[in-house]
Amino acid sequence: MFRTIFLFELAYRLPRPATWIYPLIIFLLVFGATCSDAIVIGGAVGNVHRNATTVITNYYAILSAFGMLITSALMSTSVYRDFEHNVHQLYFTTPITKWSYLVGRFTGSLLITALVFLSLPLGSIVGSWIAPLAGWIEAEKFGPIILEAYLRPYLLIVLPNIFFSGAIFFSLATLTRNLLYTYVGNVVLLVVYLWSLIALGNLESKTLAAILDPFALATITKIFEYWTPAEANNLLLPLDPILLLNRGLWLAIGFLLLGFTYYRFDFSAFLQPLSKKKKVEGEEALVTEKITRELPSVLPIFTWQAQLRNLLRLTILEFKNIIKEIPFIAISLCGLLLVILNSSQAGKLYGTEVWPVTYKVLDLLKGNFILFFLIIIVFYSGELVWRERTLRLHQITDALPIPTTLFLKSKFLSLMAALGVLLVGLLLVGIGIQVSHGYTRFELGLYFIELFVLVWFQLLLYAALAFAIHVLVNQKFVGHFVMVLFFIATSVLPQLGVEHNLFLYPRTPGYQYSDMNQYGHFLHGVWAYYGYWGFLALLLLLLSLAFWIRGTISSAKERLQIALLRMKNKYWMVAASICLLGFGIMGGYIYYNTCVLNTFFTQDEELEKRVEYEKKYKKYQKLPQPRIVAFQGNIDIYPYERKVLAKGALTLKNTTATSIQEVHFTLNPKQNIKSLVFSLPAKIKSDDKELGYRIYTLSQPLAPQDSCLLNFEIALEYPGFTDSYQLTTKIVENGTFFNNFDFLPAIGYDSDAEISDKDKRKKYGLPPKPRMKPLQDKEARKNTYLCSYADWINFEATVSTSADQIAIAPGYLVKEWQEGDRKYFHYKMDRPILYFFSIVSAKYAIRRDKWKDVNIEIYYHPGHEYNLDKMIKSIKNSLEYYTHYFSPYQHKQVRILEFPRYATFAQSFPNTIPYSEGLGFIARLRDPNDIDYVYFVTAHEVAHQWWAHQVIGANVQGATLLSETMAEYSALMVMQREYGKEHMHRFLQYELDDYLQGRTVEREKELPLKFVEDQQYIHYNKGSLIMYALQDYIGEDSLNAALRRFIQKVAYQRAPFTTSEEFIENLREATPDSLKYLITDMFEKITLYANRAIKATATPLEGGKYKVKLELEVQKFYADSVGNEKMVPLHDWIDVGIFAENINDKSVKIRPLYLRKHLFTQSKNTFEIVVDKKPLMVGIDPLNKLIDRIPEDNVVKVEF
Amino acid sequence: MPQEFGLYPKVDAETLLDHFARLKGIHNARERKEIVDHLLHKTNLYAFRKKNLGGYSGGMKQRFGIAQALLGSPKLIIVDEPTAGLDPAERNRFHNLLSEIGENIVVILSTHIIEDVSSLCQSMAIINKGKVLLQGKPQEVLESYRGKIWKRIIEKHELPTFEQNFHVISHLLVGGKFEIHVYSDSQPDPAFSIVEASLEDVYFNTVKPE
Repeated sequence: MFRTIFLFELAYRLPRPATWIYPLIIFLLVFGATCSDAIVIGGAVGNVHRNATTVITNYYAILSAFGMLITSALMSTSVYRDFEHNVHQLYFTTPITKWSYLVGRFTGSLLITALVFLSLPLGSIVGSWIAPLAGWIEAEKFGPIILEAYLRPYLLIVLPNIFFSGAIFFSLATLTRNLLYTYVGNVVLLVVYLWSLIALGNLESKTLAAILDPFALATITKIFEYWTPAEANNLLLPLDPILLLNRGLWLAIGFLLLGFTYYRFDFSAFLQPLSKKKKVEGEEALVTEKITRELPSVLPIFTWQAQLRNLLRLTILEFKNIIKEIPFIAISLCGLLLVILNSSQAGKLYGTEVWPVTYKVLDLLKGNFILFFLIIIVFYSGELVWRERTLRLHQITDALPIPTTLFLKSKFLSLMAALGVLLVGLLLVGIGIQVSHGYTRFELGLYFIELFVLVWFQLLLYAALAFAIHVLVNQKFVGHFVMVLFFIATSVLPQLGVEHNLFLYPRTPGYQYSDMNQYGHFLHGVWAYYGYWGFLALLLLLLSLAFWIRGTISSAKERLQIALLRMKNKYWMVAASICLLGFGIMGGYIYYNTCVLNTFFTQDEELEKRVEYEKKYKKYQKLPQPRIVAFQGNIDIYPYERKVLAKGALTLKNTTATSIQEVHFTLNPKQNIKSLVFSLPAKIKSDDKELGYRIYTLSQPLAPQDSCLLNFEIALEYPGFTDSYQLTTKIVENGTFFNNFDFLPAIGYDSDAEISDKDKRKKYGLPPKPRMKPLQDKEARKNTYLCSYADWINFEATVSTSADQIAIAPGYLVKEWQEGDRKYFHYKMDRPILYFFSIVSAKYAIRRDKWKDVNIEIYYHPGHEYNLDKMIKSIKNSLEYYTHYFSPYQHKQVRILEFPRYATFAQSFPNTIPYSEGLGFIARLRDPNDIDYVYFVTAHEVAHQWWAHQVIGANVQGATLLSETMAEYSALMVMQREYGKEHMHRFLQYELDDYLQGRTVEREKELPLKFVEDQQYIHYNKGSLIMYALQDYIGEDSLNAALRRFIQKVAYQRAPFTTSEEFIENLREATPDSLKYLITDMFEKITLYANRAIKATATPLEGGKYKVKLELEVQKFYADSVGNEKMVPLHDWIDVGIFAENINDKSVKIRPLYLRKHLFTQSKNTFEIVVDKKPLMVGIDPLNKLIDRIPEDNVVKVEF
Repeated sequence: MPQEFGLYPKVDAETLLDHFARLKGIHNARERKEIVDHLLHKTNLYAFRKKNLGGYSGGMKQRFGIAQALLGSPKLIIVDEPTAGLDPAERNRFHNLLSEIGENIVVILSTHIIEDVSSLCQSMAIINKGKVLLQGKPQEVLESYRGKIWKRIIEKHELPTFEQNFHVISHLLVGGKFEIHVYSDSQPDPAFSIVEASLEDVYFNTVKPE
């Protein structure tokens, strides 16, 4: 019997088109992701093969998670189908058992679903086979096709996913007999899934997320998090305990649910209608009472006022219908739940909170809820269009004496009203989150504009499209499907070169709100696009009106005839013409702004220009050119017109040994060069406006050591709006921040303009380009890594801005005055600075303080006072530490300048530090154990006044070791003084995590610190770890003494500039012979340890002492540039520690009972150590000073 | 009124009727209230006006259908198979309602239940595949058939022979044998006995012969 049911299920499914369309879609997606760059689902980076285990497993996990729509369609209908078609009564008459019926149906559908998802391995295998054969992707991007590598994730990820999600959908549909509940089930799973992806971002909740994620994406992300390219390419998906736990958990949930369903399912009850309809009782008893009165006769009224009232009524009725529905309520609650769950994580940096300012809360609300909005729009526009037909009420309503528009209008408005209710819900949740964090500065105006204007209108655009599709397609599920296709298409089209937002309904240039600049000028573009799309949305609605089904329509031809007839209505024609005209005008307006007033290039066009630039002008790269040695000028900022006029003179000096005849300039297209005039007679030899390359011929060559002036007049202008707001964030109404490279021309050929991505270079036929020059390159050592045509310059500038703002440039304020509605600030620097300066202007409040004779000033946005004291304290402690250990501070001033959050960094220019409002100004340090990154970042930036502005590396490998790594080290030491060592342990855990993750997504090759090529995970994260460990090994004082000597030797030096090699030799000298191996391991190799505490037992001794026996394991590896590891012999000193407290508890102050370095020469080691108190934990390298991929297993609890 | 229709399950009768009344152009609240009450009384739904429509029985739903059709003083209503699936009591009640309405308004009743026609209609038409085959008052039509319908009980196997020889308009299995009706101006043969012509016979005779 079971067999019959099972086989029937297969036989029923196999001929159905859906059974074949689903696998086809999956196949195409995974196939496309494998062999093209248009479809991106995770994907491979750098040296990772396109069919590496990590890549394949990711595809499977992501597609099987989103494939739950397919699973639910297949699994929920298997029993529901009988009910839907009223076949269930027939089944009851056959002698089948509950077991064979339920299990037969379930297993049959599950098998079909499993087969459908077999298209995942199939698609990736075929993709990895064909792509290199057909020459779509180079063969080197693929590893060999190993069947097991494709099947393992299918067995471990996909099958369990479809089993438990199938069990959920099957159970829901069987027990509730209402498909709507399976949609709710979908949404609930989605919430758990999205939550776990967010929780994954936090070190503390990572493992929990990995265990709970129903689709195991968080799980594999955790497993793969530190996998190097070599491992990703060569290893199979491991049977990791976390994976097994996760799979076991969800399989168990699936089985439990099935068991419950089996228990609850009752064949005889199955026959009865499920909903216990409250039958209206007592009706039979009534006798028809004859009403003799005539039906009162009335004259129907159909004036426009009456129609308006009808519209209102219909809208209210539809609206009530929506908001009373359980799926609507459930989807909304799920979305709100996700928002609330994620509110605790939002904006965290190093696990430290930020103040829930309104824009942050709005980001959280929108970011988490938009998906739910779209689900509701897609789903309910279908429901609304079909409601009467589903209820079979349409023959009555269609016959009502009301115009067809009324149906469409009321339904559309009711959906918008329901979305409005959700927006009110979001508003309340947002305020609730702020209140719960004790924050009460609610910006209701901002909430209103953001939610009820900007978001609501965007939802309206989506809703109009969804309505139009549902009306035109006239098949509910096909309609949903077309909407999904639309979403896929709009994300794929830009990859295929359709990038202008004019073609991507309903996109806009976007905007970013900031406390400083608010919406700034961004809404101009947004309104224009909203107008443009708004007209199109109206057109779509008009089209829907024409094609609206009213009455019984038998054929497509008849439908078309009716539609044409409706279109001939003069009101329809007038409305359509107005919309078409409006659409055209707005489109023209947008085109004028984005492509005429501004320029628009697709990514490919942008790349092609760079290719052409390189091909045409690379020949001039070695041409001797003069260097900039002084800047003197007037910079006038017009913040409200978003315009900068710069006028002044650069002093150019021939520092080469030959005389210079031609001066070349690379000009940025944003720079409007009004004039460039030499103080010597010169004329333009060629001027390539397209690529921005201009050559001047001097009538008299510039002799070596000779100088001349270059008078410039340059404007930076941002008229109208661009297609992306991100292109116009530098010069804004409040919070202008730009630097010298933005407005001054580059001298000579600019190799930074070359494409650096190795695959792209290959594609455009360019020779490979090393990311940086080798250490020995004499030519490269003539320049700092900041600039190839200038180093130390004299600086003087007069900056003007509007009267309500303060403008700041490096140097000291000599004079400040006002002229009309403009304010002028004259700055002069008293010593040479690097050619790297910023100009800032905003409406600032100022906090002043002093350390010795150094003035400290923080220019901040009023309202952002939260962390000013921290910053000042950090500046003072930094100055104290750095001047004590390193060298004197070269300036008499430290200034922090807040700028809008369009970028979230802080950057150190000579005596000025622009600092993003999004980085530290709203950080909220309420728990003293939280990592105080404001303090840290401030110390880091102040440290750059030494490590960059005193010591600057040559433009070769390892340059950023001298700036970024050393700024990290300096800041770590300042932080350690303030917060103590245990605080460092927690901070360094983040650094270790970031380093280990960073190396997995390396695009070219991982290098030892000495050779770092501007790789952030190396110079920041690994650099921190290494320098911290080094000071621990050789002592803070002796390390600092070595640094001091180094600074004395190279500070403010001219070419040739110093290198990491000189720096490291200096450290090696300061290191005792027994530890010299450290310098090699840390700086010249990629060294990883696998240290592990295996077991620790303690026996009490007399006098309260304890003897602890430890078993410790040590392994050391050297890795190559893609992460192939080689075990190397040991002769290493490593910490062994014994603790009375739990060292992972952040609130505990750690006082080790024992912490000393031991020499390890073999892998397995046993020690006996006597301690004075009862030990709790022991460990090898317990505070994670060394780089270890599994830092958690370095400690174990002591057994007694 | 459509043959088969649904109603918003979570709305009560009064509200929905009121809603339809507005849509049919009755905007004066007092008038509307009067007319809605009247219709609810008339269709005997007044006692259940506050109950959700989801709980209505088939008959109640049909009566609600009539109530909404009568809103806005129609001159003509078309009722498509209203009594299909109703129990006899409901059917009676519905018939009473229809005849009452028929006193003032033209009611076109489309039905396959032939008894309904004889009990309710003043005039009738038989339409098959879009063609009007017969039109007239039921009484007159029956009059024209008087004395022309004959019946006889035959064995099952005899049916083909009889069909060849006589104008058999219907056959019905009665106790293992066929009772056949034949249309003929005179007694076809002595074994036939005359029967009172019914509309059913008219129907079969009109629709079937070819």
